[in-house]
Amino acid sequence: MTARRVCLKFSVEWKSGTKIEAALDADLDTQPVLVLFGASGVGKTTVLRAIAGLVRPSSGRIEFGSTPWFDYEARIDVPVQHREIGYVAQDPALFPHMNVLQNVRYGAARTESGRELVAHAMHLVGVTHLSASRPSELSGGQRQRVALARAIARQPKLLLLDEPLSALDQKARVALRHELRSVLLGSGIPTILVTHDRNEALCLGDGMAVMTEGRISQHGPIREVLRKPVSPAVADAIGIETVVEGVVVETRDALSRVRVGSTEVVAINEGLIEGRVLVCIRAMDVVLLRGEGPQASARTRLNGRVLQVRAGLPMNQVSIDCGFHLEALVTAEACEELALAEGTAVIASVKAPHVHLLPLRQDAPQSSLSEATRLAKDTAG
Amino acid sequence: MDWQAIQLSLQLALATTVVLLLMGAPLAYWLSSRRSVLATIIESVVASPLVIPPTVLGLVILLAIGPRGPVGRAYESITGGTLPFSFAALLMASLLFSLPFAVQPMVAAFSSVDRRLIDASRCLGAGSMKTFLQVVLPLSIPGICAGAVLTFAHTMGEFGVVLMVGGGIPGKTRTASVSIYDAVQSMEYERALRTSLFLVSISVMALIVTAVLRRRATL
Repeated sequence: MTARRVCLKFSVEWKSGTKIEAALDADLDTQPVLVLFGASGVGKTTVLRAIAGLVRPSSGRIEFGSTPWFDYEARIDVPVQHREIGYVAQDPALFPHMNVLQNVRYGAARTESGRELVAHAMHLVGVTHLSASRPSELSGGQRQRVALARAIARQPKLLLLDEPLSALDQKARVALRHELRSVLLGSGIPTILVTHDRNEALCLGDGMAVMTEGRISQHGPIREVLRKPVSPAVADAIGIETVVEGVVVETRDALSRVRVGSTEVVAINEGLIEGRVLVCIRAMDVVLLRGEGPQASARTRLNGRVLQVRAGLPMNQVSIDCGFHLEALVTAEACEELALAEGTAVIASVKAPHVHLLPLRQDAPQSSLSEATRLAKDTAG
Repeated sequence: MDWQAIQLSLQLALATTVVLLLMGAPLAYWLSSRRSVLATIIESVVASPLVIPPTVLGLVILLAIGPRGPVGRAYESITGGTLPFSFAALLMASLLFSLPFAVQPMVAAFSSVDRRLIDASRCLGAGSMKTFLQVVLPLSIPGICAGAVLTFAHTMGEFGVVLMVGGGIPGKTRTASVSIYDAVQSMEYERALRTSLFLVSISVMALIVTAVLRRRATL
């Protein structure tokens, strides 16, 4: 096992009967920032707190590198203060009776090198000028920065961040997102970060573990997970905007024609799935054209009409009826250029590798399929 | 005014407050961080002087520290002396009787410290002792002050237990409240009033000091 591999298989059962399960084997050398992703209330924070040692699992094992931190069978439960982790919660929990420097210095060694690490962490996070300030004098963003500096200053083996930007407003969150990524990489400390924001995950993460229904359902490189969910539940969790039911009509050279509603789409079908499928298309992978448009390599070109244009930041979301309900993301500028409005005729173009197929049990009841599809659409909306 | 009795009361109140702060703080911290049956039982035992009549408590202590009592025998075997009607006996009785006045405000203060700060401290590598000394204790100053003042004021005015255990020997175990009682018994109302006024002024001063400390701690 490499020194920065986190390996967990445990469950936490609450008195209410809720059960959270986590099974993950992640090499943080290849994925230095691992995002634990899922909807609110799915159990992400519980998993993170169990790794930290703040929640005791009901069974299982947690290992970091070659060190077991928790082993129910072997009765091992390393106290949180000995796990050498850095933990930043949604609430920065700065000590109110200490100034910024005292806060950051709290967990660091009282040596010359410890003092250098404190100075480095404060510089890295950009809070050196706030050294003498009290937490009550800081803004939300500044408090989060100080909490991050405090966690980094003691050079933990593993950094655990629980929605560190959630307390900030949208503008501050977007601004700090990019900075946080460079801070995390600059610190050289492997990180597990909890978020329910897909843009935040994309911006910060290298790897992604998706939690659905109280368990980790999929783990892998972030772009692969976002492009190829392994189940309707994961597709729903990561917010793939278009998830519709279809039937594979023909497969040739791993390229399939799939009938969806009253039209057909072309998809890469490496798994050679046959019969009924769920067709997943991310809104960001759909290109909209007016008229015939230029010739393109995309195999699927669908004629449709705009149902609705919803303004958003940084992209507008456009709903199109093209034989089935398709969602697309378009910049406000492009919306204006294409004069997109309700009823506008458009051509939606999607490349075959961007159409992801999920197998459906052939005997699956129609109602449950519709439910999965509806859920995915609701999330997208 | 019975300066000797006032001096003895001040000594007793100060000693009781210091000892209870030192002994009561760890006990209060333990009680505030546990939800076990044992903690509940101990919390009830600590609170029991609030409901036991002082004379009854005094009698139990007197029997325990007497020559036939377990504490008295142990004390005699170690020091060769006896406990009843001594300052040590007064102190022992005061510690027991004032225990809830010191511990309960401190338990409330420790319990009110944000749990997330304690978690943050532990995540930063701090053990229980460092977390207590550097996070919990500084944030609990108002509660600790309240406990100290209540203990001090309560001990200054204690009568029943002190009379039972100390007996009111002038210069040795006669505290200010016993002196007031003696003065009234001998119809010396003026002396009783003067000593009473002094006790009241000390209580008011203690409350003012606490209020100032609490304001400083919360600002």
